[in-house]
Amino acid sequence: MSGNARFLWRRLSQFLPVILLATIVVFGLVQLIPGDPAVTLAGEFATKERIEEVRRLYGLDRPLMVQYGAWLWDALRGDLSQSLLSSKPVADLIIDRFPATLIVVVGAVLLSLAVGIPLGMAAATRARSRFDAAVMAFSSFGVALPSFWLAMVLVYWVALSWQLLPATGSVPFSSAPGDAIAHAILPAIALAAAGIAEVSRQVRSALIEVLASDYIRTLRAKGLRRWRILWQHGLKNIGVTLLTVVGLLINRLLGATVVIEAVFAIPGIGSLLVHAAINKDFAVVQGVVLVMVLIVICLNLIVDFLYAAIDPRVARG
Amino acid sequence: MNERVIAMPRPPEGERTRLASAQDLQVHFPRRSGPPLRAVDGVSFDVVAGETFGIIGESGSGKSTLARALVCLQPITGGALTLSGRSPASLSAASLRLLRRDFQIIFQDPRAALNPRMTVRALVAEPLEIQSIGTRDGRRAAVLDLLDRVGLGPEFADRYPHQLSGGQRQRVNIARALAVRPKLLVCDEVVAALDVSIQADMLNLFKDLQDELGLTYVFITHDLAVVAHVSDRIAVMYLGVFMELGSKAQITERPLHPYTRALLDAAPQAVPSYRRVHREPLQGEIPSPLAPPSGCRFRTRCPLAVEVCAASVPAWREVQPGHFVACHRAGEAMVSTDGTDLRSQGVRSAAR
Amino acid sequence: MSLRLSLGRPAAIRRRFDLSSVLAISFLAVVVLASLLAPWVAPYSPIEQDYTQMLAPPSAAHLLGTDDLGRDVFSRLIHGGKASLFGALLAVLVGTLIGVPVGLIAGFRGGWIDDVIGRLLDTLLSFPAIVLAVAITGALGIGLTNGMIAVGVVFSPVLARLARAQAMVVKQELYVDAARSFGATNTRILWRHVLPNAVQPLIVQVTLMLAVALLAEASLSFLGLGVQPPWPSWGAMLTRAYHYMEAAPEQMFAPGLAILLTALAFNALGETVRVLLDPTN
Repeated sequence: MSGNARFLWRRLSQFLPVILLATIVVFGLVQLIPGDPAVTLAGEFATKERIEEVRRLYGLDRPLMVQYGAWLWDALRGDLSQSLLSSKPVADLIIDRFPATLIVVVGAVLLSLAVGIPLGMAAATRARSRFDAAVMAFSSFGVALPSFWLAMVLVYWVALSWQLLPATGSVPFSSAPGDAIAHAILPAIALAAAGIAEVSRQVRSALIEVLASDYIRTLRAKGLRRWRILWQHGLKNIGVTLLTVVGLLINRLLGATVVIEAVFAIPGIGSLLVHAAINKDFAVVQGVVLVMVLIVICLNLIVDFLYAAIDPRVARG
Repeated sequence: MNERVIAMPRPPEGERTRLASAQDLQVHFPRRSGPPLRAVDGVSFDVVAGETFGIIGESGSGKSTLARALVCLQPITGGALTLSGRSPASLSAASLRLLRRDFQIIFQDPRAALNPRMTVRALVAEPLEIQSIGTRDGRRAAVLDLLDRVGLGPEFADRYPHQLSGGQRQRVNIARALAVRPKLLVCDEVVAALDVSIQADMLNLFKDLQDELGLTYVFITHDLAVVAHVSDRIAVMYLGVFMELGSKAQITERPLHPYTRALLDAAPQAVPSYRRVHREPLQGEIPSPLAPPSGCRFRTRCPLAVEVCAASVPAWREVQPGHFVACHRAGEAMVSTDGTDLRSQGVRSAAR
Repeated sequence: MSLRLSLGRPAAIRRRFDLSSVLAISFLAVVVLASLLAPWVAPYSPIEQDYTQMLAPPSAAHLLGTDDLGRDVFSRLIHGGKASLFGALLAVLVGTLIGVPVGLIAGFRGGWIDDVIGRLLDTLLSFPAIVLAVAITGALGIGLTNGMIAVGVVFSPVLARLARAQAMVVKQELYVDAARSFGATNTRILWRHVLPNAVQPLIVQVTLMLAVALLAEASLSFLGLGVQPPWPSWGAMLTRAYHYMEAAPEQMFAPGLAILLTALAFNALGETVRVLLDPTN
């Protein structure tokens, strides 16, 4: 276990610098604004007073390092400044809108795994068969398919033509769970198409490798049933691959949800981000990006810890 | 390390120019845990202009690391290296770049030493470009001239390394090294990767080039026949240190160190003048340089090892002019396994 | 019941590979040519409005019908392809110009420079790509060029990581030592020896990245952060089509299929390049 402990410690010691660098990147976004940020932020028809007010509000008159320090300190206390457009605290906006995003992304991740894993396993056991070729072709399509276009197609047929599911909007899970899930199904499917493609492809190639190993050949020789081998030994051996895929998946889907929320008019943090970016509401942009990157970094850390738990070789390597 | 006595081997003919000089030169590679790997652990020698200085050693003896250190590809971690009277470590980047011209190396693997994406022409021209020698047209002519010098016709200029044979590749490497008109050429196992049938051709080429261009060689090899064929002086290297150093005659005809004798015994056809003594061939493998034996490093395989060999590092002493050895028992009771007293040779020559 | 692990029939696989690469390259050639020659190929102006012909169904005069402002969809598709391809190329170019040098230097120099750059790459890769691209575009200012520069910046760590790994391998090569022994500077070694020998996997990655960049362009334009009206791109056309989905659902198919097929073709091209450059092949 000392190997594991050392691995976890090493991983933790990499975690803090990455978080710190991420905050610098997020803070630095405002520095990309050409010209005087205060003028840009205040908007086209702002008065001189308004510009000065904006400058004070965001501390743009102070040295950069001081600005960063103050911003970071506020962020650590949960204060992400306030929106220029609505004058509401950014943290409140994010908290209000986060559940709508969460239900879609979680649904898409579950769907990707629930469909992608069996598909990949089935393709691997019939490697190079017609079925395998079909799965691979589907996977190529899934990767190349614009998710928002799939979303539009789904809205048109499933929601508008056949009226099976609601087309747009979102319902809080707490008030009407059934309705909330119904609203999340189409967005989750649109998001999951690329996820299923990725998961099935990775599971397939990892499993093909495992199935060809001497270890599995021995089990087969012992007469174990095919599905038993697949589920018990195959999946266990591709655990690390699966974890990597899940880590990547969450990163991808959090990004893709930004576009999907626009199609389904979901009031999540993705649509909050786009609206803020178009309207130069930079405190909101920074807040959303920061929250998203923190989610990804923390999940990656958890994934790495799970690696070590599943496969001690990773920890030693 | 206090017991190590540093005696400087003098060049055989007093006043000739010393091109390269190593004093207690060390190259240690730090490791994440444990003591450093001592690839070269204190060697001292001079190379004088015009000579061929042979270094013989098994793989793992540190001879390639020493070769790389001599041409400043491997920073030294202890001792001193002097090239043309200057210490490379103290030079500015620009001065070092200029100094490098005079000290070139030919590597063991002729294929790996050539960038696979460059033509022979570009390969041979590269040193000229780097050192800004000649005009563009002048360099074009120089490339063909250099190829001709190593026995390659102009038709080779536009070929890629993978289109050449091993011997041709090594000729390209030689032409390229000669491009900057070096004073000293370090040849690291230059024929080991080649077919036996062309090894002699290659060695003759080296000899001809030396006569024509007045080159100085440091010839590093594991092959006794090669080193005996080309060298004026020979150093015997084992686990990062020199065991013995002397003129070709001293080493091949009157060797003092049991390791040198073992090498000669193992390849009697290599040096016909050596009076072979029947003895067990060298046993076992060279120990790991990570954990070299205490005292004399050769003692674990030495037929003559006694207690003192494990207790203290034998001094590097000059037993006769130009003949150095590091062995507690050299010139002492050297008794072969069949009982012949070997002392006579060593003592007689030392007294002479 | 046994696990079937047949190793396939190479000839059949080769045939399929050849077909897909031929199809992909021909399709891309048509798309690129149509985009380059858009002013001459397109039957109408992509921005000229005709209020007598709003949301018209496909006809002989308008092969793909007209949009909500009476503009010819087929012409907009051709001109939109120009914007989409330009955007994808720009993003990949920016990503390459930033990522490859940074990665090569990190891998070649090693030490603390590598540590710092490596950590920075880890960090940048933790940002969901589109999220960061949207944020950077918002900061730089909305528009196709800024949007695709943003996408390029977001892509650069992927290429940097690959270039870094390549440089770490190539710098160990003996010919690098040889060049150094002639007095070559680090710049020369990087440029003449490391880059040419590290470039093959990078070419494959860059080709595959064209597909991702195309999708990113479509996404940004769909969100209104890319191409600005009245000019078309495939993503921007989908935004309008979406608004009028109930009245004219056929409007959303042409741009969507154009994106899908072009992305597929870029991926197939990437696979072809991979096979062609594979030394074991």
